[in-house]
Amino acid sequence: MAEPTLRHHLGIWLTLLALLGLSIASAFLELGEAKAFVTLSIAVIQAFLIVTFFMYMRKAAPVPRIAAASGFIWLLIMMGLILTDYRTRPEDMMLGRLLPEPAWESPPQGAVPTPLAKNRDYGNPAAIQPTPDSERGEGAPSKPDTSAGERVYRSVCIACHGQGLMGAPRAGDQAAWEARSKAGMETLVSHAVNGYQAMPPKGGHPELSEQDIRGAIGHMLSASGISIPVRGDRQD
Amino acid sequence: MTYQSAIPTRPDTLEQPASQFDSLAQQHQADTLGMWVFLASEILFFGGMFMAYTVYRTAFPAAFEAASGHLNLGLGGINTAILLTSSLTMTLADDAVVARNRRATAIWLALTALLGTIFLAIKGIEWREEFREQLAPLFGRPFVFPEPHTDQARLFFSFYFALTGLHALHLLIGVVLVLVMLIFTLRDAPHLDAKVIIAGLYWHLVDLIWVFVFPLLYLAARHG
Repeated sequence: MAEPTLRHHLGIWLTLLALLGLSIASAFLELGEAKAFVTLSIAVIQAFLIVTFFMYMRKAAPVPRIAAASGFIWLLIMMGLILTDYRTRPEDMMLGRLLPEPAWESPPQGAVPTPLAKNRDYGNPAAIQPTPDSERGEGAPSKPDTSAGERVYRSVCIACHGQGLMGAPRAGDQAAWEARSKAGMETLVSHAVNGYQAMPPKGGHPELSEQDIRGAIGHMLSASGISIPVRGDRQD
Repeated sequence: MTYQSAIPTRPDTLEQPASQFDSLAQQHQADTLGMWVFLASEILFFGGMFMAYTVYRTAFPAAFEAASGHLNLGLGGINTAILLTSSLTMTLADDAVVARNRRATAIWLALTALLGTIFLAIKGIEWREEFREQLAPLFGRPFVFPEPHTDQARLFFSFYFALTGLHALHLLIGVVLVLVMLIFTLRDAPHLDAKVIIAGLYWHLVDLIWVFVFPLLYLAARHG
């Protein structure tokens, strides 16, 4: 009677240790974004084993089972609602309300429009001056205009690129921009215009032209002390 | 099927249920229920902190990755293995108490308390290391971390000390609880099986919480 129980417990224990080893090993692999998912999934399996076998949920009566489940279910509800909230409301994160820092003053509420607002009301319309269509054209110079770019940067891009929120390379962080500039100016512009990872297309401001975006990237590059070959004088 | 709850009721038991219960089995189910209601509140207590940590880690992935790299993964991994092992010894104490083997119960309980104490000692060594490296933003101490992630790393280490500190407090309570169970065993207290198994549920939950603390804090870094 005692022998199979002991062997059963030892089996659970060895499984838990093996999962721990797997979890640590996966931390050394190049999994990128999936790493947190893998290690936490392993933790969930370990937790399931502990609750089922070491905490006897496998044999428990219905009422204690409901009590145990309720803790986890309320936790899931809380996690679901909080994550939904933050995933659908990135503006607060971009505004820096998540982590107020003395070095940077948050723009006032309303200065950055909510993505769902139909009539966007900019706190300071003069700050964003999209290049009129008539001034664009095939012959337009592709060299970044850093003074106009700086205006766009200060009114839009700074929300994330000022502090490096959600993986955005910080303006002035030479190492971060050095790595990205290797992809070439056109790749950077295309990422910024079409959106890339956490970055929304055109930084969430569709009224900006590609030229504005190009200028803003140029400003951030020069602020980081990097000069990048632009279209035309790339050495291919 | 007959439900055993966490606490099996031996058919040959001489113990009588408390007056408000129909049977010993019902009393044991009530014991388990009460403990799980408390444990559910603990799950939500730690869950709230895990959630806050997750939100900030999503906002500052690079900074949290860099800060996590300053934790001692080796000691953290050893500690996780120690806690998982202590859950095994606690379960073996449960088995022994159900089999009415007081000597074995006492041995397994003592071993469980010892493993818990070793965990706390290793945790103390880690904390001392982090204090020495000026990574502890506590008690107004200076916090030193290379730019550009200084402020976000301070946030990470605040989470680190809050989570590991509260977990250590829970484990300390667990060690005291297991030692109390050891005294009960030596004195052959009434309803000993229910007492030990209920204390075991608390012990396993503290282990369960660490199972999530470890990957969230220690495995956030880029290794290798």
